[in-house]
Amino acid sequence: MDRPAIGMPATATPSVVLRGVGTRYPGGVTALEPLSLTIPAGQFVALVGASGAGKSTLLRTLNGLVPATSGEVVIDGITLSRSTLRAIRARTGMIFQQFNLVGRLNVMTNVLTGRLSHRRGLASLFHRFPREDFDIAHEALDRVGLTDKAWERADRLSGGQQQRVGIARALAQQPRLILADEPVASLDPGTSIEILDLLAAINRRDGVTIVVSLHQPGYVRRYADRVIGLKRGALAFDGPPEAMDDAMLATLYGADAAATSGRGDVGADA
Amino acid sequence: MSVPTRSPTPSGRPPPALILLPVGVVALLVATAPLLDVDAKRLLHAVPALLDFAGHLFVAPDWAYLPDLLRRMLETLEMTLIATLVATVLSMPLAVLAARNASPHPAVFHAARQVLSAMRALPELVWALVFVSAVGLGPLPGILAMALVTVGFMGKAFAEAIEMADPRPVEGVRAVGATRVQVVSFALLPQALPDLVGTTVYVLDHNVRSAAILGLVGAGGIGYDMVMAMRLYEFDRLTPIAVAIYLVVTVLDRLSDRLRARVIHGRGAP
Amino acid sequence: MSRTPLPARPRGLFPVWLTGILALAWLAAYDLELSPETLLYGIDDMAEYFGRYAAPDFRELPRYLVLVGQTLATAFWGTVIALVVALVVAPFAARPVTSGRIGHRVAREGLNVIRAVPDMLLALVFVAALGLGPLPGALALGLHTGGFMGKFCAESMERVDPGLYEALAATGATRAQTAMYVAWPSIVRELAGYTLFIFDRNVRMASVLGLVGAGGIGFALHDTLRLFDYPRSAALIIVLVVTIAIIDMVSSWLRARLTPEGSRS
Ligand SMILES: Nc1ncnc2c1ncn2[C@@H]1O[C@H](COP(=O)(O)OP(=O)(O)OP(=O)(O)O)[C@@H](O)[C@H]1O
Ligand SMILES: [Mg+2]
Repeated sequence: MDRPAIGMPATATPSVVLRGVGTRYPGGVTALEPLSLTIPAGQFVALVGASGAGKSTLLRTLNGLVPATSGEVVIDGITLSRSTLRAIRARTGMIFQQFNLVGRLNVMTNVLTGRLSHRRGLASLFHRFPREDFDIAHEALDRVGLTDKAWERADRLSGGQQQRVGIARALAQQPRLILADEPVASLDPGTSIEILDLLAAINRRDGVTIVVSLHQPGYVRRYADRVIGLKRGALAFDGPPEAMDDAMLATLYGADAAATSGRGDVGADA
Repeated sequence: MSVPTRSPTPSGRPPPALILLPVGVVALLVATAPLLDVDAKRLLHAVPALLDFAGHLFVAPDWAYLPDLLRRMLETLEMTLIATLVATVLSMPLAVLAARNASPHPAVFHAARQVLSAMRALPELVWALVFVSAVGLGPLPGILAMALVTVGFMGKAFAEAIEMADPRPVEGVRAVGATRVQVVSFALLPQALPDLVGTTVYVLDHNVRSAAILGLVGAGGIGYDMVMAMRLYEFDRLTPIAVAIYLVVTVLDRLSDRLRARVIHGRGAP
Repeated sequence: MSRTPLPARPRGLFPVWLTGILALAWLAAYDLELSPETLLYGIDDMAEYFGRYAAPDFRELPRYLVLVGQTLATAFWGTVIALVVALVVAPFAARPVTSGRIGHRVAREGLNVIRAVPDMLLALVFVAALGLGPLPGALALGLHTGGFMGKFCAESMERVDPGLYEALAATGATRAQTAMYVAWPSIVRELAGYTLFIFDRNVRMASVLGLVGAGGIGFALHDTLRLFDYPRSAALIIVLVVTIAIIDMVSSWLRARLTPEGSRS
């Protein structure tokens, strides 16, 4: 039985369970060595590691954008497979470094794409949605403070605004889990804080599990409940942010990076 | 008494490519001349005939023919509109199948590409000849011929436009659990749209020119009258026909230049 | 929880355009007396009709190949003539290169006119003046596509960075020198692309010029179709399709080499 029994509190089911999950790209690159871990519902997890360590791969493995080549991914008690892929993606939001919005469509339509997994009819293909979906999208836009931009083309917005549209799209999915791949790497420090505050609020208020890859130790310490460190595709660290010391950073990033970690929250990523 | 010159190359001689290319072209022209029966004397003799012809062009038009001319011209435009519209609609699904990043399967992709290039292979006039023998004289075979070739052309152009689409928005829509068709509708087509408009306008321009000569084989439009006027040396008809074609083609040419410039210019900032 | 109200949704003109175009098309179909039945009726006939092409007769293949050669030669001559027209006229039609306003206007309009006159009509005229055969066809193609080539080249020249023209003008170079040292060298790559495109088009066109007596494979096809000689027509069509497919492949191979390191934009 994959699903929790009726009446059982949802929080009892862990948000993410990985059992020996490894990923190898078609070219032959092993991006992820088999690893196992459990993320309880409602946790704010920071994923850290040097460039190429496998952070993006791990996040994409969680919603099947990259298929795991070994092991088992279980999201909210449902094992990821071809047949459950859509259902899992439907309740899993994803936020990208480059926002990945459809620039030529307006903000509202971009947010409404979050409803697509619930609308399989012909109408959705012609960009028609029921009233209910507009309400959900409106609500999501309101959360990120962009209601007034609803009819603007997405590519006319600033980077920070586009990322907030990305968050609104994820919210419109009414997600149980949000995956964020370096959501603030293309943004200035002030905007980065706004975006991470939004994610933190979604985590606290709505109890949505959040897994976010971050390059700046300062942000990790400020927002995360738990830190997972990857090194060359293998699990190298798993613990609370307080345990993230210079020695650990040195193992993950090399000695130079650790030395500058004190002011790592400002513009660490070029 | 000419001053000796040299080229700005180490050797002082013109670059080899600059000599070889024209020499090669001229050699090929000479070699193929017998196939064309090129004959200087014949060309010279033609000059008076052409001048005579040009002199005849400036005649008072046959006013009684004007209503017929307008009728034929309207028919030409109607054929163009219908063929282009039908072809645009039909080419969309084919283009999706023929785009590497949207096609459900590589085999489908290759098959669709082959079908499209087969449609494009023969000129409209040949198809028109065939369709006239099949369905009889009139605008219908002309429309069929134009639509067929246009689907081949547009399908390929659309497919290429879809393949040029940025993969990031595609990933964004895929991640919410959208179906393949939804991804096409929300991420691929919106991105390909400016190219689609540009191609459609170009094709419209091309099709008016085709429609104007399809009458040659009895497939409707002004072409039949044009050929008859020319064969019978009815210059009082030929001149108005030529002027009418000139006007329509020129107006469309300008319109397509302007529209294309606007669509390309109006493309969103990066 | 109260939400900020959505701003008023701006009205796009797209539905208006769509309705307008569909209405026009419907009117056109009505006016042409096209009806779904005609087409369905036709489809039934067509299946039977196309069956007649099932047994191509290749006995005259050598003659067909000569005709293909003639068709290709016509297209080649037409393309070279178009190039010559463009070489002479394009600099005058490009604003940054041309000197006189009148010269510019004349060049532009001249290109427009030869582009607007269908090459079939030109071919008819040249056939009347020169007699039957592929030569009038080549002249017609050359003149007509010269209009396209000249326009494309002039537009490319206008897209060249104006700084280049300024730099040469600052040295006191003449207009002709500007054309030779800035305009043409800057658009060599585009020129090659246009030439391929025009040659491609001319091959297709040359294969139908025969309909007005301008030689090539179209002449033969017209004859066999008029005589209801389906086996020979089928053979000719197959020969034509294969020829065009080969030209297509060669030209897209050449085009791929022209694009710098596969960067498309
Ligand atoms: N599509 C792919 N095909 C083949 N190999 C890939 C692909 N994507 C990533 N890789 C490889 O997988 C490994 C892990 O890459 P991944 O993108 O997961 O790292 P990352 O930790 O996200 O790095 P960064 O911080 O630079 O984003 C790298 O060696 C990379 O080259
Ligand atoms: Mg990454």
